[in-house]
Amino acid sequence: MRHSFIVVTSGAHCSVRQLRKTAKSLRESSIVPNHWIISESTLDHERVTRTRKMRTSSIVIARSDVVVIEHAVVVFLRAGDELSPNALAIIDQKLTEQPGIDFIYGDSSHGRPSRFEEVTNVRRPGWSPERLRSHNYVGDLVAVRARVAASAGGATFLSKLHSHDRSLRLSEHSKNAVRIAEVLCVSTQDRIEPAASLDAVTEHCTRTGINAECSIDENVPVVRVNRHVSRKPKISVIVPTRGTVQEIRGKNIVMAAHAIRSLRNTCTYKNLEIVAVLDKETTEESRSEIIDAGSNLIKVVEYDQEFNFAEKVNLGVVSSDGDYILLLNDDTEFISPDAIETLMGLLEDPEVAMAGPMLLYEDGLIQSAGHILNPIPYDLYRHRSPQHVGAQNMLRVQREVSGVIAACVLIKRSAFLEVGGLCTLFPSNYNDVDFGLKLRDAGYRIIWTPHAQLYHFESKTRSPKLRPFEVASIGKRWRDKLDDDPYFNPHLERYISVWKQNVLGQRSLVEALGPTAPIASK
Amino acid sequence: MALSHDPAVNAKLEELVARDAEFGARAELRVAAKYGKDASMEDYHFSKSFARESQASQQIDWVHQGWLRPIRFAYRHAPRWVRFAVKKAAS
Repeated sequence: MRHSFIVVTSGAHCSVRQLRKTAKSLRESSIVPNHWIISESTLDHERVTRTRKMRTSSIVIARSDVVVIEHAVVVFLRAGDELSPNALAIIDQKLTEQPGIDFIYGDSSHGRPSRFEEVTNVRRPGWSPERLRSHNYVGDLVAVRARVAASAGGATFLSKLHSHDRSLRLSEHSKNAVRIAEVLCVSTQDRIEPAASLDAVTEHCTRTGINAECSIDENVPVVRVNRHVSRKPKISVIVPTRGTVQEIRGKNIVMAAHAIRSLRNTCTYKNLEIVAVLDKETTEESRSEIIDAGSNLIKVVEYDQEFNFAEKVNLGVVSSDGDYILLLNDDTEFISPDAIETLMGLLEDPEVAMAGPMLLYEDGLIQSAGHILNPIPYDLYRHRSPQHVGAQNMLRVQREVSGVIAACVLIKRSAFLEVGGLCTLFPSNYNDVDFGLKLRDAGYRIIWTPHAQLYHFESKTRSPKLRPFEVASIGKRWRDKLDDDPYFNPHLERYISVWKQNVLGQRSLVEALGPTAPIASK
Repeated sequence: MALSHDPAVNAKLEELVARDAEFGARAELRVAAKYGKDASMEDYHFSKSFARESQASQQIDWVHQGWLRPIRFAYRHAPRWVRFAVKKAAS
C-alpha cells in the first residue's frame, strides 16, 4: 500500500526562485506528492504554481489545509529546500514496514558541490527527545502521519511556525519517532534563530509540565533546559576503593578521601549518605582518613574478595537505602557545585533511569562525554579540549546516549535493582557499558549532560588493560547493540571517538592508515 | 561465596545476580539468533583504548617532526586548488 503525501511549505518571506527550486524537486521525486500546500502564498508565487509544468503534473496545489485521507503523510519542507529524489519512496517504505511509526526525520545535505568544496552532509542521531529541547537537531524536513499533524494544530498552522517549535509540537503528539539514516533533503540555507528556539522550548516546557528555567547558551545557539528539582530525596553515594594514595597536582593524597571531601565541600546537595566499600588491602591510615572525610555521613562496608568493581558497587548499593544512587569513583573531584541537582533534574523524567556528567582529565581535556558504540564502546571526544563544541554542538547539549562511564552517575534505585545492578562478569572494564545496555533493554533512557562537570583521574587506582574475556563477554551479550547504536549514524566513521563522516568504508582507521595513524587528529 | 556477614545483604546480592542473569540470557539469545552461537568478536578491532600510554596524545607526535616543517609550510601556502588536489589524492 502506497501512502499519499502532502508536502507543506510556508510561502512567507520566500522568493519565487526559492519556491521554483522546491517545485522542481517535487516534480522530479520518484513518488510525486499528491498535494503541495503553500501557506501564506502570495500572488507573486503564482508565477511558479501556474506554470505549464506544474499544471501538467499530478500535484494539486492548495493554500490551506486539504481534506486529509487515511494513510496520508504530511511532509514539512522549507521553501528553497529540495526534496531528494528518493526521499518519499524511502519514507513510504519505512512506514509500510513499520506501521507504528508516526514521526520521521533524516539526514540532510547542505551546500552545493563545486571545484573546491564538497557538500556537507548532516548526519543525525536517533530519536533523542532531551536533545530536541536544546536545538532542532532533527532538521527542517519532518514527515508525520496526518493524524499527528492534525492533533498538533494542523498542517497550515504548523508550517507557519519556527522549525524548532514545529518539531517540539509534533513530538508531543507522536508515539514512535524514528530517524532514517539517508539524505532526505538538500538545503542551501542556514537559519539559526536562538531567540525563537528559546521561546519554543519555554512554551514546550509549559505545555508538557516540565518545571525548568530555559536560557540560551553563552557560546553556541542552543537552549539550556535547567530543570528545577521538585524534592531533595536522600542519595546514597557509593565509593568503592582500596584506599589508594596517589599524586594529584603534586600532592600525595588518599584518593577516596579527596573525592568525598570534594563532594561534601563543593556540592550544594546535602541529603547524602556515603557508603565506602573498602578492600581488605586498605591501610589503617587511608581508612581513618576516609572515615574522617565522610564524618557523620559515612558508612563503611568491608569487601574481602578478589577485586571486582561490579561486585563492590552492588555490595555498596544493597547496604544503602537512598532512593537514588550516585556511583562515585575514588579518583574523581567535583567541579560544578550544582552537579547533583543538574543530574537529579534529568531523572525527574520517569523514562530516564540514569544521568551522567562531563568528565575531564586532570589536565582539563575531555575524558568522557558519554559513550558511543561504533561498534566498540568509546568515550566521545576523549582527549579533546572542553572548549570544543563538537559536531552539531553535541558537547553543549543534554542528550540521550547509549551509556555513560560509571565514574560518576546518578541512578534511580528502582531501575538499578530492576536490571540486576552491575554485572559481576565484568570485574574491571565494560560493567558500565553492560549496565547502560541493560537499562536501555528495559526501556529506560540515559542522559548525558555538559552542565555538570567533574575531574576524573582515570585509572590512577587500577589497571587500565582491557582483557580478552571482557571483550568476548560484551560481544556475547550485546553484539547486536554494539553494531546498531541508535545515537550513532551508520554513515559516520567507525572506531574513532569523534562524530565524523565516514571516508574509510568498513575499515578501521588503523587498518586504513597503518599502526602509526594519528588517531586523535582525525 | 558470601560477600557479607549479613544474610539479608547476601540475599539481596543473589537477587541482583539472578536479575542480571535474566537480562544476560535474553540478550545472548538475541545475539545467537542474529549471528549464530559460535560467532566471535575477532572481526572487531578492540584497541587498548583504556590505556593512556597508547592514547593519541603520544601518537600524534610524529606530525611535529622537523623534516615535516617545510612540507607543511609549502602545503599551507599553496593555492587553494593545489591543497584541494592534494587532499583529493590523499583520500
